[in-house]
Amino acid sequence: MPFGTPYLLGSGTPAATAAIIVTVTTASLAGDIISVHIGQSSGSGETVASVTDSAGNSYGPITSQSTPQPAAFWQASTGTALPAGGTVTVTFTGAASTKLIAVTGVPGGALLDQVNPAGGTSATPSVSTPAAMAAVPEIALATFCSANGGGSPALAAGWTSLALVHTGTTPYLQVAWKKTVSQAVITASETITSAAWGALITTIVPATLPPPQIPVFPAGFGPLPADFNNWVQATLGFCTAGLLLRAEQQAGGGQAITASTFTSITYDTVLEDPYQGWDPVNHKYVVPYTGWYEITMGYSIVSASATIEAVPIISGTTRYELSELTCVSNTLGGAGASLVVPLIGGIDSVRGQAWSSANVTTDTTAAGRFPWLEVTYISQ
Amino acid sequence: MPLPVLPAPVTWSAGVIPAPQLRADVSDCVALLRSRPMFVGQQTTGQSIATSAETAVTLDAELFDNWNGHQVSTASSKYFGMFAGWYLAEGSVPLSFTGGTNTMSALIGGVQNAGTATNFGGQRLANDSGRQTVATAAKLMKMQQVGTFNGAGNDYVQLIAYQGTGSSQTLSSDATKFPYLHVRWVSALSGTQPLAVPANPAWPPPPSYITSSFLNANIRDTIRFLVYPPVFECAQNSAQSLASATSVPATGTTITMGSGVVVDNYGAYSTSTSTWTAPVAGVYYCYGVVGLTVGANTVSMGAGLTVSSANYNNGTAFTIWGGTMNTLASAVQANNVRRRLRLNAGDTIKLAGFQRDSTSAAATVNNSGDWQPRLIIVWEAA
Repeated sequence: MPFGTPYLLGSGTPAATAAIIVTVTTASLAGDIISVHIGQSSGSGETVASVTDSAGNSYGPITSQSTPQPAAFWQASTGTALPAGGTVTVTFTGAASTKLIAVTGVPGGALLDQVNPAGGTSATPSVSTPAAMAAVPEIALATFCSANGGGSPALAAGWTSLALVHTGTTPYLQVAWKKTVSQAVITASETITSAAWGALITTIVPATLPPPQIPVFPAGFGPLPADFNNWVQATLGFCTAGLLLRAEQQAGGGQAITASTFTSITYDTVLEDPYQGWDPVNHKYVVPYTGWYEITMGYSIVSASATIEAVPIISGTTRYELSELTCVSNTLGGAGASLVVPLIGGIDSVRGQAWSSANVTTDTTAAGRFPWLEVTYISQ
Repeated sequence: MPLPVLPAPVTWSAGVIPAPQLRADVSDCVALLRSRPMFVGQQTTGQSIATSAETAVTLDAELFDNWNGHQVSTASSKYFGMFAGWYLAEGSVPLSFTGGTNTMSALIGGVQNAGTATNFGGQRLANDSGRQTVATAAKLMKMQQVGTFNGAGNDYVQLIAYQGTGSSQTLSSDATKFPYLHVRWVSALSGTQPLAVPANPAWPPPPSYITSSFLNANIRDTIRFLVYPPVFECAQNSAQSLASATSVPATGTTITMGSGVVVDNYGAYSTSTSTWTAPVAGVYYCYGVVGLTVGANTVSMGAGLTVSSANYNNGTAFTIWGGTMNTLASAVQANNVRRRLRLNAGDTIKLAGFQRDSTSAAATVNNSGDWQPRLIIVWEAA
């Protein structure tokens, strides 16, 4: 299943009670990651005791913020489908505080990556991921709970609201999402009238599939849905989703390439790496599975008179000089290469290197000039 | 294991789900796509290339050939189509230069649908007196008459080298620098379109049940899409003069491709605006080459892909340049660009060109022959 758009399964009516039951209005599909976003009025000290649902999914606490405005985030560790009309029950340790609940689903997700809580009293509730993302893209979910006095929150640009839960004088619970486009730390924020708030951010990495075996479909066999998922969903799913890395060098100033020296390009921005093969320290991609991969790369240089090469290199030893041309001093130059090679999963790595007959600098001054590297799975 | 066939998935109706039908549809599709017809070969011999003659490059080292379309001992320059479809061919030619001033180039050649052998140019570079210049090329090839190795009338593809120094030159055969050709199947010749990108959902658990509409969406249409995804190629056939620019612009001059559509199975291209519009979302392989006849004072030229997508440059259209190169005066020159781009449905791509002339003279875009500008786009992944 494609790593898709998060959706709202349902939300509960805010109430001061020991348990809130959310009726599912949009069904989740098997394998979707179900998240429960919780807000509370402050001061009671009550916490979430348990989360259950009518499909039997098992939930656990992921993160929470207790002061000045309580918020909590629970997630199901199982992916049983939850049909419309089903229920999610959130039970608390007491009935004094007002509780606000929203339940969301993420298709095609796998593991949690980043988790972080934050809280304060201000007009700009804000929470950031604590470190660089493991994969690109990831789905980020933000949970905000702000006191009633803060008024209706306005979400920062780039984020899409999934739910805004509020009635009368209750706090506001807002759930928002964003698909990440790089490994960089991201921040979710909203604007309110200054008030107490709690905020949580989590990110989910995409589920990935291995290259498929040919399904056999044994005759006289009573298959379960899981069998069909293995035979059809996973195999055609890999053929649909593919396996690739896309990275660029975008940092200002470019990179110096010393004359007559093969220099590994320090790609600083990963555009796409669902299989988490990128090594940001050594600027190389370790392929996840054995197979034939196409490596494409290229770069531009700040105007210089030089002969340059774009050179893929495998596992730091095997170099392919499959492009070379001469550039002139008054126009930016550039070269690109393409190569299909067999690589061993988990062992072989790919880097992009530059070679030049003179000292040059890679050109990162505009979006259309960024040095780039792509690694694409082609065949078993 | 027998070689897979092109699946022709059935339309499902209410009733049992026969295992043989699932094998014919799903198993055959997976078998084809996980190990699609592909050839990878290189040369290690340092072949001599006569001056001013487009010469087929022999490939004596076969690295991958799962359909046996190539033999080292017979017609070693050719990869014969053994399975019908559109094939993406990419190659590179390194020249071991020993003197003379002119251009050298890589081309993809071959026979399509038992027609006349034709060559299609990639980069055409000015020689560098001190280095082994390497040119690259790419082309979609329509393999329609297939199945007989070295058969008369069987379609094939080959890598072509050219150099015009006035004397013979050899191709490089270094361990890291050698002639190289890669050919792989990317699409059937015909199929069903338009279709949505497959969703591949989980199969319904009880008490839900599998419906014929579920099977048609997630087996039939999924397979139909995957074996016949959006594929596009256009070669320029309208006259155009490309003005000189003093620097490479953020958004390049569009090459007005005209009506020379080679393949456009999703009807994504506008001949009036020279614009290709992504019919579905996904990652696309994009390749462009621009061929020019430059003036006596032209100093550099290059090719680019002008992209309009919310995924790039904050949604503002811009040109991804392949970089520019030094040019030889008053000669035919060609440069290329290739990228994989994640696009949304409705995003657009145009081929762009650049040339700088010290007297601001315009260059002529080659709208016929081997050095036509060409734009190739193939859907590769969701």
